[in-house]
Amino acid sequence: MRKSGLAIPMLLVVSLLGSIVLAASLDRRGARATTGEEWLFLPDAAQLKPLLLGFHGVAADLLWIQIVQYVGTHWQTDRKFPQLSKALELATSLDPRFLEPYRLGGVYLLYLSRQPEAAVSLLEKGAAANPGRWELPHDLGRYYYLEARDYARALRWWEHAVTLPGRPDYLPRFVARLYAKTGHEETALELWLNLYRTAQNDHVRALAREEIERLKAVNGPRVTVDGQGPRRP
Amino acid sequence: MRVAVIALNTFKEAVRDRILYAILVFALVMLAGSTILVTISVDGEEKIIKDLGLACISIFGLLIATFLGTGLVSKEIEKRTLYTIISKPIHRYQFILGKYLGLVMTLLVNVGVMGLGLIGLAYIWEGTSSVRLLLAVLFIFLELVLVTAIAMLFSAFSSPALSALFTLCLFVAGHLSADLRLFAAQFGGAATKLLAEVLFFLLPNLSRLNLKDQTVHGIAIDGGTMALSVVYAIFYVAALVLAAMAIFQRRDFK
Repeated sequence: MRKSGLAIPMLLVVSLLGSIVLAASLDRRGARATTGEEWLFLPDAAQLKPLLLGFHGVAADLLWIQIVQYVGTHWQTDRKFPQLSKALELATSLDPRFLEPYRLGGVYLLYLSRQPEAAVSLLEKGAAANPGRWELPHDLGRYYYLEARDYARALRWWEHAVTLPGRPDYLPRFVARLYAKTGHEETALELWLNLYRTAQNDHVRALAREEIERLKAVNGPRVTVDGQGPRRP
Repeated sequence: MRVAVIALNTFKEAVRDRILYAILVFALVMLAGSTILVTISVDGEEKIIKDLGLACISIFGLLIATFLGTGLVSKEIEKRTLYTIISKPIHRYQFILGKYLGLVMTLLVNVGVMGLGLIGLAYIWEGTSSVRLLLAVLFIFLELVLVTAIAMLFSAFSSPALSALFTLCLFVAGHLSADLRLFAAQFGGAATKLLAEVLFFLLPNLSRLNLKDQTVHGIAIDGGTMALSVVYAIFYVAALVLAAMAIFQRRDFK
C-alpha cells in the first residue's frame, strides 16, 4: 500500500523531468533547423478566408506579427526572404484594409528582399483596396521618385495622395517641386528624413539613416537626422 | 411572473458555476495578454488589440453560450429538479422561456464584463473610447444570444455532448452559408445551387452579425442594414425558442 503510494509521485517526477529534457532536446533541434523554412505551406487566401469564420482580421494580425519576426530573424542571419512576398500577399488578402503589411511590407520587399516588382504590386493592391487612404499613393510616389526615378509616375501618385484626407503637409510641396522639375535631392532628403522620423522599426530607421548619410555625402550636409530637418541653403 | 422567477433562478444558478468564472478569468487574461503580443509587432497596435479583444469575446462567449445552453434540460433531469418543476402549475413553455431568459442574462453579464475590459484596454492604449467598439460587442452579444437559442433547441431533445456538437456545427455553417451560396453559384449545377439557396435562407446568417471589420477599420456602418440585422436575429431567436418549446411540450419525462 505504501509502495503504491510512493510510486505515483515518483512516476510524476520522472514524467515531468523527462518532458523537460525532451522539450530542451526538441528546442535544440529547432534551433538547428534550416532558416527560411518557417512557412512550409501558405494557403490561398480565397480558400482560407471562409474557413476563418469571420476571424480573418485576427489571422492577418497574427500573420503580420509572424512576418515581422521572420524579417527580423533573416535580417540577422542569411538576409534572404524567400517567403516574404507570399506571406505579405496572404496577410493583405485576409485583411485588405490593414495598412501596415502594405506599407512596411513594401519597404521590406524593396530594400531588404530587393523585389521592387513585388513591392509595387503590393502597394498598388493596397491603393486599390483602400481608395480613401493617402498612405499608399504616397508610398508609391516615394518608390517612383527615389528608386525608379520615374518622376512622371511619382507626380501622378502624389497628386492623387494630395486629394485624400489626412495627407501630410509636405505633400503639396513635393508636387510643386516636381512640377518645377527641380530640387529632387532636397525632396529625396525630406522623404528619407520623414521615413526616419516616423519609422517604429529599427531596420527601417537604420535604412533611412544610411540613405540620409549617403545623400548628405553627395549633396553636402544640408540635412541631419536629429529631427532638425533639411536646412535651407 | 413565473417566467421571471425561473429566469432569475437560472441566472443565480449559472453565476454560481465555477467553470463560468474560469472561462471569464481566462478571457480577461487573454485580453490583457494581447498587449504583450503587440509589443512584438510593428505599427497597427490599436488594430491588433481590438481584433484580438473582439475575437476573445466572441470565442469565449461561444464557449459560455454552448456550455450553458446545452446543459439546460439535461442538468434539470440529472438533478431531478425538472420533475418537481413540471408537477407545479407551470406551463412547459414558461419553463423553457424562463430558462432561456436566465441564460441570456448570464451571457449579458459575461459579455458585458469582457466588453468593458476591452473598451478599457482600448482607452488605455488609444486615449479615446469608441462607441463603435461597444456596437461590435453588442452585435457579438446578439450572435451569442442566437447561439444560446440553438444550443437550447438541441438541448430540448438531445444529450449535452451531442447538443454541443450540433451547436458548434451550426455556428460554423452559419458563418459559411454566404460563402457556400457563392461557391454554388460559381461552380455548382442547378440542384447544388438550389440546395445552397435553401441552406442560405434556412441556416442562421451569422456573418450579418459580424461588425468586427467595420469597427476595427472605422468603416461607416449603414444604420438600416444594422437595424435589419437586429430584427433578423430577433426573429430567428424567436423561431428557435418556439421550436424548443414545441419539442419540450411533447417530450415524455418518465
